[in-house]
Amino acid sequence: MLNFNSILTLAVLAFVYLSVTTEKVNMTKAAFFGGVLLIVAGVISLEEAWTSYIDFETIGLLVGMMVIAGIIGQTGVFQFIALRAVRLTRGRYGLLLVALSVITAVASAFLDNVTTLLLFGPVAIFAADALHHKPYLFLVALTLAANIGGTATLIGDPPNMLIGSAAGMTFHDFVVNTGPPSALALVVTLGYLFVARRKELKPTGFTINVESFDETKYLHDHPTLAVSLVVLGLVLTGFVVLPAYGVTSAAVALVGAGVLMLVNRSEPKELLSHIEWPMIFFFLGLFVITGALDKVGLIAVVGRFFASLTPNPLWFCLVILWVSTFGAAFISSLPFITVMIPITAAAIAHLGLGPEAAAPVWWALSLGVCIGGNGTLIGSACNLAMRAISERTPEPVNFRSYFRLGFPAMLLAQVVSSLYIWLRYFAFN
Amino acid sequence: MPSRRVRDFMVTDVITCRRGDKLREVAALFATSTISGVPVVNREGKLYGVITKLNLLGYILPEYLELFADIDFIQDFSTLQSYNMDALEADLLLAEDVMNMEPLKVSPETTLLKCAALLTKYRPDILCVVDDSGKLLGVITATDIARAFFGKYAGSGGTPPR
Repeated sequence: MLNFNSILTLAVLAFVYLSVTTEKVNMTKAAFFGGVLLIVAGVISLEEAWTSYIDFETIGLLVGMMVIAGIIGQTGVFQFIALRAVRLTRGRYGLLLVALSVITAVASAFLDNVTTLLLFGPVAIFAADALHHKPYLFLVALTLAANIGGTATLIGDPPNMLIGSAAGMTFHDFVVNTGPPSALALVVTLGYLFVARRKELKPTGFTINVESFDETKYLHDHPTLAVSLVVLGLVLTGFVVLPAYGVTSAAVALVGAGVLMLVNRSEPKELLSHIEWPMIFFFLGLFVITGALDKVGLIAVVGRFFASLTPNPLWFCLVILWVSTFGAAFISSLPFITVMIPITAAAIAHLGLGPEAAAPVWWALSLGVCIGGNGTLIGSACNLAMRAISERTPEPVNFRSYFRLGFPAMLLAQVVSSLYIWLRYFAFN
Repeated sequence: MPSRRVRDFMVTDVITCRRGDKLREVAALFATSTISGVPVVNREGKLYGVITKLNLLGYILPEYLELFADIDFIQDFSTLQSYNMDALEADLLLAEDVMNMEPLKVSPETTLLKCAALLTKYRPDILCVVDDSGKLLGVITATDIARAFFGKYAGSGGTPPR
C-alpha cells in the first residue's frame, strides 16, 4: 500500500511537523506549500480539496470570531477589566495571579487564546513590574489559563471548532461536557503553580499604588463597546439556540461579524485586519494534506490501529486523551488535531460506536489536545505569543523555563481530565 | 539653481564613540552638549551604528511599554522600575548594547532635498555621512538642512510672537 502518493503525502506531513517542532520554517508556509504540492502532484485534486476536505464550517467560524474578538478587543474593555483586578486586589501578588488567570480563562473561552494573551499579558507585566516581581510566572500562568479556558467552549480554541464541525457538536454540548473539566483543570494548574513556586510568591514588600494608574482611560469608545457586547451576547445566544433550527455556528458567527462591521465606522481593511490570515492559510494547507492522507488510505490504517488497541470504550477514550495530550505538546495542537480528527472518526467507525457512545471520545480528544497544548512552549499558538511578549521583559521565557512549569501542570490537569472522563461517562453506567 | 549637496553642509568635527565605551559616558555627552546623536565607529573610523538621544531615553524605560497600544492609563510613571537605568548606573551597559545598528546613511553627494525627505519620512535624529568604504565623514541634521534652505530669510523681519 506504500505507493508513491502515500510516501509523498507522508513526507509532506513530516515536513510540516518538523517545521513546527524545529521552528526552522514558518508553519503556515510549510503547510500551505505542502498542500499545494500535493495538488500539483495529483495526489488530490483542487476540486476534491475544495468540496470534500477543506472544512469551511471551521474557517467561517474562525473568521467570524476573529473579527468579533478583534473589534471588541479594540474597545479596551479587557485591559480595563484586568487593571480593575489589579486595583481590587491591591496588588497582593498571589491573589492577583489567581484573579488574572481566572479572567484570562473566562475571556479565552469566548475569544481566541492569542488575542486574550496579547490583551492581558502586558497588564500582567505592568503589575508584576510595579510589585518588583519577575513577570514570567504571571505570563506562564496566563498562558496555561488561556489554553485551559479555551477548552470550555466551541469557540474557545480552534481544535474545538474542528471537533465541533467534524462531530456535529454544538456550543451547548461543549459547555456542558468540556466546561466542568476545564474549570477543574484551572484549579489544579493554579494549585500546582502555588505549591511549586511558593518561594517566589512571597510578598516583596512592595505594593501597587492604586493612584498610579487609571483604568477608565481604556474605556474611550462607549458606543462601540455597547454595540459589541450586545452583538456578542446575541451571537452566544445564537450558538445555543439556533443549531436546533439547522443554523451552523459558522453562520451565526459570520452574521455577528457582519453586523459589527456594518455599524463600525472604521475602514473594512482595518476591521478585516483582525483576521489572522496565517492561521487560515495554515488550515487550508493542512486540510489538503489531511485530505490526501485520507485519500491514500493512511487515515483508515491508523484509525484501525487505534481501534485495535482496546475494545473497552473507557480505555479507548483514555488512549485518545493521552495520545492527543502528548501529540499536542510535542507536535503542537493545531497540526496534530487536524490529522487526529479523521483518524479518531475512522477508529470510532471501526469500533462501530453510535453517536452517543462516540461523544466521550470526542470530549477526550478535545481535553487532550487543548490542555496538552500547555505542555511545551510549542504546544499552542498562544504559548508562542507569550514568548514574544516575554522578550520585552528582563527574563524572557524559553523552552526549558516554560517546560519546567507547564509540563508538570499539564500532566496533573490531564490526570484530572482522565478521572472526569471515567466518572462522568463510565463509572455509573 | 544647482542642487545643494551634503558635503557643503555636513558637520565634520563629530563627537563619536567606540562600541566598547561605557554607556554612561555616552549619556554624559548628551548632558553636556546639544548634539542629537553619537555615531559609533571603530579605530579606522568605520561606522557601526548610532546612539541618539531618543534611543537612550527609550532605553531607560521598561521595554514592555511598547506592548501597550495606549499608555494613557499610567498616571504615575515613577512606580515603574526602570531596569536599564540601574544597569546604566552600574556600568553594565556598553555603547553597542543600545546602538541602532542600521543607521540611515547618506553620501557626501546626496542632495539636501533627499536628506529632507529621509528626515521627514523616517524621523531619525541624525543622518550619518559615509564614503563608499563605510567610513564616517560627518553627520547632518534637520538643523543643518533648515539653515541651508531658510538661512536666506534670516533677518528679513520674522516677527517673534508676543
